[in-house]
Amino acid sequence: MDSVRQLKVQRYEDFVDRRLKPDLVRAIAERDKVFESQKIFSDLRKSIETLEKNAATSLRTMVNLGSEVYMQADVPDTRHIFVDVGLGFHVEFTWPEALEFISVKEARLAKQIDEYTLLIASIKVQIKMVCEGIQELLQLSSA
Amino acid sequence: MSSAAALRELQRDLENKANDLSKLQKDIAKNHQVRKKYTIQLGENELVLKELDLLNEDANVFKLIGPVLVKQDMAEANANVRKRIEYISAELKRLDRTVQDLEEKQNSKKESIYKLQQKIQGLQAGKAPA
Amino acid sequence: MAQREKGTVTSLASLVSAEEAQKAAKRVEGSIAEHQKELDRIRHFISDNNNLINHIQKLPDELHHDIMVPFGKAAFFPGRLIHTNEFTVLLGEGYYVQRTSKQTVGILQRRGEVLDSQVESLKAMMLDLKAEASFFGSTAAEAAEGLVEIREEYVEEHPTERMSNEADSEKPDTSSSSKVHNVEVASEDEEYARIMSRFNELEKEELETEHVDEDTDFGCSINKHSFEQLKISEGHLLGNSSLKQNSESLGQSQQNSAERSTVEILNVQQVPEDNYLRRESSPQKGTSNSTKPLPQPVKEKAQAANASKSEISDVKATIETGFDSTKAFTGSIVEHAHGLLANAASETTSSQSTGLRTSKPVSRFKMQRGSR
Repeated sequence: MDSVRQLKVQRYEDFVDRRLKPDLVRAIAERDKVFESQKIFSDLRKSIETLEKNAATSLRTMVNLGSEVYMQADVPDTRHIFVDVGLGFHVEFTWPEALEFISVKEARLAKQIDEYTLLIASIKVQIKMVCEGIQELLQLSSA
Repeated sequence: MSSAAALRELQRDLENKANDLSKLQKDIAKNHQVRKKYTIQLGENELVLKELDLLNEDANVFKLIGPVLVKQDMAEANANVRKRIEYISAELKRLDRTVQDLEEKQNSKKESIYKLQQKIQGLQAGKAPA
Repeated sequence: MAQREKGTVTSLASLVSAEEAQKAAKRVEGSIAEHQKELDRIRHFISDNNNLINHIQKLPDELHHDIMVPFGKAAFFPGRLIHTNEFTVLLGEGYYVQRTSKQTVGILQRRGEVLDSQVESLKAMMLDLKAEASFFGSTAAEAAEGLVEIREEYVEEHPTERMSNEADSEKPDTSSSSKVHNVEVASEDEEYARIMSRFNELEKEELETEHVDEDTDFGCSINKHSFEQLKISEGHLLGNSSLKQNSESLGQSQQNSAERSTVEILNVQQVPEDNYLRRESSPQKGTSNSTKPLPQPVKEKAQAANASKSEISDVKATIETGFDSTKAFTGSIVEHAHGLLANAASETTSSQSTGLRTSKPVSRFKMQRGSR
């Protein structure tokens, strides 16, 4: 009888270890990715707003060529900006267009983050449930 | 009855000592980590110094401070890096001494724990037949 | 002992348990994989570095290059590289320096050299690890196959001479070696740990000298190990008395007995004593079957037995002492309990824990729950 219970406990533990926990880790990693791109776009928005404020039509910057080797670069006309819209496509925008796109994109990212947060919470609940179940099994057997 | 009390006393003592020991071990581990960090920094600084030594006097050297590159005097940069290396080396030596000290303490703790354990065992053995 | 024996046969499985060797092999494989990852990472750096060098050499060929200038991580501006012979290079620690193309290439080449040396040292390390892994792997395979090691001393003399000679010459030899043994191996676990630490030492040495002579070293230490074990284990065999059993099943039964007896360390000492006692009565059986001249070996053996007896009282926890005297008795098919003890101990603990489990189920999560 005990061995049957032990087997069950083992199976529940395996379920937590091999299924739920990896799922949790994956979900958290996915959410972190979205967080990252959220930050990228909010940075971009701030930068464009700064450009707008200063009415900067030309720009001089440093380009990282790799391994922290930089070279100066000149942007003669900043009115047109190419923004990454996903899947490797870059679209030429004017500043207002870019800002509009960014706000749409940010809303989508925020929604994704919410979804992932929900998923993470539900996985955590499942883990707790299974642990509770294991606990009950153990109490049964010790009684 | 008195022997039981003594035994309890010894066991409490043993527990305290074991706690001390684990604290010491934690300290040692922390020290090792800091040491590793400093060793890496030292290597990086030595590389920087090597490159700086290869530069001409009139080369433009910058230091990244926060988000901006600040132009630095060549001699000043060189002196700064040297000072930094000195500091790190001194720090490493200091760490070495601390670790040594901690390890000595750890060993003496281990020994005293061992002695306590023997004492307790002796007491228990004496109690059993009685 | 049906026929006259003059050599020793050791099952490799009893020297090094297949499981143990496999575990070790796995561990080494894991470490190789880690090193391989690191190597790949550095190789990636190197190829990046080389590409960058090529790139930087070409950049000053033109006055400017039209590019898309990155603006943040998700946006670009159309623009151009200017001042194509002016690079700002990070040296480390936040220091940047302005350099020409040529000077930058110099810096990058120096970095490349550092990376190359790292690759070299990693490669040497991997080579050592691979040798180690193949050693463990083949040991595991051999142990699993039930390979036996047969040792026979080269003796030219006539059998009768040999016996008397042995009685004279071998006795001091064995007793001295048994002493060495006593000093060297207080317990099986200790010996095991020592050998492992010796392995580690050798590895370190080899990494430093970047020499690959591991196999010979390993061989040496194993041989020594086994040599000692040959002697130790004779008592066991005599205790088992069923000599015709093949070595594998012998090893099996022995393992079982060892397992049973190592529930407490104290009991370990009992095994040899037990065997020792049995062995005292066994010479008659052994010698009556054999064609050897009787009186001398038996007498010799008794002496040796006495000597070893006193040694037992001298040195605590000397499982080996009782058996060493049998060396003079001649070589014989040998089983030994040596390497087994360490894992037998672990096996017993594991079986204890599993025993606990079946009687009262436990969960790892029990502990975790409390902390939550």
